Amino acid sequence: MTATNYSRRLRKATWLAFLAPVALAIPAGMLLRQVAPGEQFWLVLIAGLAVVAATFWACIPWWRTMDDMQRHGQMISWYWGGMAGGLVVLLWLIAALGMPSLQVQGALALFLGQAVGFGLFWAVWMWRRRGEAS
Amino acid sequence: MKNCLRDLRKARGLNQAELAEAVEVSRQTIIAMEADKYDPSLPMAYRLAAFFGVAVEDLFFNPWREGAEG
Repeated sequence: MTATNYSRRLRKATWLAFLAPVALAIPAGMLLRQVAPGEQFWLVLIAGLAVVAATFWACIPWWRTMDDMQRHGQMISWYWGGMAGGLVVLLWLIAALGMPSLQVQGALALFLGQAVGFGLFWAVWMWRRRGEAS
Repeated sequence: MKNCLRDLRKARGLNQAELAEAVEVSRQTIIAMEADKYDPSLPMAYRLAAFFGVAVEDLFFNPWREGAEG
C-alpha cells in the first residue's frame, strides 16, 4: 500500500459519487422536458428509475470507502438536516400557497415516498440482524 | 471515549495523516478520536489496537470497568 492509497481511493470514489449522478441526471432531465405530462408514462418512469439505479450504483464505492465516522456523519446529516430542510420548505409552501396547491401536494408525495422508503429499509435492516433469542 | 491514541501514535513517530493511511480511515477521524470527540466502531477499535500491538482496552479505556483511566 502506498502512502496515499486510502485518501486517493476515497477522493476518486467521492468524485464518482458526485459527478456520475450529475452527468446522468442532467441529460435525463433534458430528455424528460421533451415529454408532455401524462404521455409515455411507463417509458418515463422506467427511464427515470434506471437513472436513479445508476446514480445509486455510482455512489456504492464512495459509501464503502468511507470509514465509519464519515458514514455516521452522512447519516446524521441526511436524517436530521435533510428532514429539517424538507419540512421547512413544506411549511413554507403550505403557508404561501395553501394545502390544495399542486406544489404542496407534490411535496407531500415526496415525503410519503420517503416514509415508505424509510420503512422498507428499516424493516430489511432489522430483518438481517435477527438472531436466536434465548 | 478516553484513549491513548495520540501517545501511541507519537511513540511510533507517525503524524495523524500517516496513521490514517495505515489503518485506512480519514485524518479527520483520527483527529476526532484523539480529541475524544468520536467513539470508534468495534472493528475500527480492533484494527487500531492490532496496528499498535496492544489490547483494545489498553488503547480505548473502558469507562465501565473499575479502575479505568480517565
